[in-house]
Order: sequence, then C-alpha cells, then structure tokens
Amino acid sequence: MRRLTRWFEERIPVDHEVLRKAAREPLPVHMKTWISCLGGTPAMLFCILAVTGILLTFYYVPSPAQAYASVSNITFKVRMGWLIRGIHQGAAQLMIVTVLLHMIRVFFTRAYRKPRELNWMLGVALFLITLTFAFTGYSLIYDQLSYWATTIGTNMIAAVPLIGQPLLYLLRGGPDVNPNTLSRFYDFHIGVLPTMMTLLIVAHLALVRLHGVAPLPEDPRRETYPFFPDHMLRETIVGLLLLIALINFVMFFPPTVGAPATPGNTPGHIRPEWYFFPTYRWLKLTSLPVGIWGGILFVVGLFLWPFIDAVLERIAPRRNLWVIVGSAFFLMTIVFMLWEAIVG
Amino acid sequence: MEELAPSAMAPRSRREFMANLVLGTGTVLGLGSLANCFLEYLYPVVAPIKLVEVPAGKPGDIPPDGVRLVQLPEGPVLLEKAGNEVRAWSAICTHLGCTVQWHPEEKKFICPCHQGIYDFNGNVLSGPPPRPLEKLQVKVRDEQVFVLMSSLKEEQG
Repeated sequence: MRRLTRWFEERIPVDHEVLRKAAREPLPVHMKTWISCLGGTPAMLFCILAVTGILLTFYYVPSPAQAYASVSNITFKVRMGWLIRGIHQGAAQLMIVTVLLHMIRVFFTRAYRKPRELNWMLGVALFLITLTFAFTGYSLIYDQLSYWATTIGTNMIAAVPLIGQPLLYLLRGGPDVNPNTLSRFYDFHIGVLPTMMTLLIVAHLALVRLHGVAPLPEDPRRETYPFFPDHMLRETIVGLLLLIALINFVMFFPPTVGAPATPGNTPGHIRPEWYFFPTYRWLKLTSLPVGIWGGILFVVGLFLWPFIDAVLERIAPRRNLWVIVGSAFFLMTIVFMLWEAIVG
Repeated sequence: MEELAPSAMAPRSRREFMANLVLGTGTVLGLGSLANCFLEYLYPVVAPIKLVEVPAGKPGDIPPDGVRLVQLPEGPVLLEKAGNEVRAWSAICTHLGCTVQWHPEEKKFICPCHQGIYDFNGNVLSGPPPRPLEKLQVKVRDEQVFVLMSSLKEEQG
C-alpha cells in the first residue's frame, strides 16, 4: 500500500500540507447555520441532475416524432425510468428553490458589496442559466406545455429590440418551432448549458475562496471553523437529506406526461411551471414592448445591483434604500407568483 | 544574437511591439472569422416567403354567422361566415403566438395564454396583443375555400 501511495506521490507532485490547508479553509462562525449551506446545495443538486440527466439520454430521442413517445417510454416502461426522471424533475425544481433562497440570503446580508460585486454577477449568470436549463428541459418532453412554452418563450426573444429576429431564427433553427428547434434545445440542455454552468460554478467558488466568505454585517464574532470536515459534513448531510426527500417524493408522486404536443391548437388552460409565474403574470398585465423592456431592465438591474446599491448608499446614506428597493421587488415577485397561482 | 529584455517590465523595442501587434491582430482576425463561420453554420437557411393558395374546406362547413377553426399545414386558420361572405384570419395570437379560440356565446376570440381578446372582426378588445389578428385573403372556387397563406416549407439547413 505504501509503495502504491509513493507511486502516485511521485507522479502527482503536490504538497500534502498545501492540500490540507486548502481543505481546512477557515470559515466565519456565522456559517454554522443551516441556511448557510444553501450556496453548496445547488452544486450538489447539479451533480444529481448531471447523473440522472446522463441516464435519461440513454432512452430519450430528440426528434418531434419520437420525443414524446420516448419520454412516455422512460416514465412507464423502462425499469426504474420513473425514478430517474422523477429525481431529475424534482432536483431541477429544488435547484431553482435553493438558488433563489441563496440569492435572497446573499441579498439581505449584503454579501455582494465591494470587493464581491463580480461574484454576485457570476451568481446572477448562474441563476439565469438555471432558469434556461429548466426551460429547455421541459421543452424536451414535447407535450402540450412543452410545445407552447417553447413557442411563447422564443416569441418573447423575437420581441427583443434590434437582435430579436435573428436571435429567434438562431434559436429555433427556422422561422417557426420545427424539428431543428428540438435538436437545438437538446444541445443546449445537455451540452452548452452544462459546460457553461460548470465553468461558472468553478469561477464562482474560486472567487469565494479568494475573497473568503463575506462577514455578516454587525457580527462581532471573529472565531472561525474549518471547511473540512466541519462544514463539508453539514453540506453532505443537507445533500443526503435532500436526496432522501426527493426519492420519497417521487415514490408518492411519480412523474407523469401531459397530452402530446398539438401544433396549432393551444389548450384552454395553459401556464408554465411555477417559477415562470411572475413573468407570465407580468406579460398578461403589460403591452409586449413594456413587458420585454421591463424584463430586460429587471435582469440588467439584478446584474448591476451591487453598483446600484453603492449609488443608493451615496444618495441617502442612512435611509437603507437597498432594503426598500430589494423588498419591493421581492414582494412584487411573490405577489405576481401567488396571483398567477390562485387566479391563473 | 540579440539579447532578450531582462524583464517583462522593461520598455519594449519598436520591433517587438510591431511583432506583438501583427500576432495579436492575426489571432483576433483568425478567431473572429472562425467564429463567424460557426455562426453562419448555426443560422438556418430560410427560403424567401411565398404566398400559396391553401384549400381550407367547403363554405358549407362553416356555421352560419359562426367561426370554424381549421388546422392547415401552414398554420391554424379561422374561417368566418358573415352573410354570404367568407372571411379568414390567422388564428395565431399577435402577442406571443398561441392559437386563439372562438367563444360563440360572447362572439369573441380569446387567447388562452395571456388573455388577449379580439372581436368578431379580429380587432383587439383587451389584453396585451399589439395588433389585430392577421387577415388572410380568401377565394371561393368550385365550392371550395382557398386561403392565401405564406408557405412555411422552408429549406432547413
């Protein structure tokens, strides 16, 4: 055994002490709360999604003629297919929940301020990629919801000023939702987005390590504790509990498939998944240009929030405008979501 | 042999600057044109839109003073009979592309996606649609309704 270890040590010349130090990075003691595990949870869910996603590709066929049948096959015929698809679907939903909660935590602890602005922006990019993952994911099922979500979503892109039309053609692979669209969404879902997400997660974590975890405002404690094994253990417990919860959920509520896509016939009651409810409601309330410009401004505002906060701070130093603006947008999103969920 | 500069911070010679400039410009241009090739590859080949006459059933199939939704390969079409005249609209909502539905009791077209509402003549009554429904030209020949629509048989690359 010692010879084997030495063999590897000679071939991988890394100082053990450096590795040990890196693993035992000191974390501020306020991280010892469960809510502070929210940053690592989406990364663990991403791993679960990658494994179950790869398994799903063994049976999924990305063509309009066969996509729906292949998803039905996975769900109802393939052994354990329902479990794999159910975990994939559930983990995707949980990933959005945990990313949102992590963002809310970072926002209300103001952890995005100098010098961590760039990491906030990387985080927003990761959030948008997560949503794009979800959107392209349910477009692949090719049931009615998939088809009409793809139609509406891509038409929204067409309404973007100047670059909208060429971008629409590029995404759809033609003027309408056609077989090219499904292949492109599939490519995005299993190739482009995972690559982008992996690179951004690495950059996001690297910046967290380089800056250290942001101190909690008005927390006088200066004690630290090591990332490994203390925090790692806590993160692992969260990850395992989530996996157990997911499996149990799928056992009781196995995945289903909606009616097959019928181009040219929108069903009477259609609405997207819950995380798009606020956007859906917003689009019902506004004219198309206002809806699209509002969306673009919201995303740009979210990206540039650390700088907007700095400007607000300079304008009115003791008014805590960041809480007012942040809470207003947060409340508006919740109201739009509930409004759509209840009224429909 | 020429001696190398002792450190990266040392002032660069004009010759070194020119060499870097040529290398840098070449790399940017080379990678840029390759990226352009990738983009061209991804951009679909779309044939120019042609208008074609599409058969859409018999005038007798349309309920009197009512509306019939027909699914044609070129897209869903609403056929309407006002007296003896046959009129046609594209059933695609001008907001974000869902298919509108005819509600006979209210005599309105309603889009199920974002609640866009159109009247009997395709005009917007309420909701987010930016334009009226697209009116299509209709010809009735030998007891057959033909609708003039843009051919969607694009050449897909």
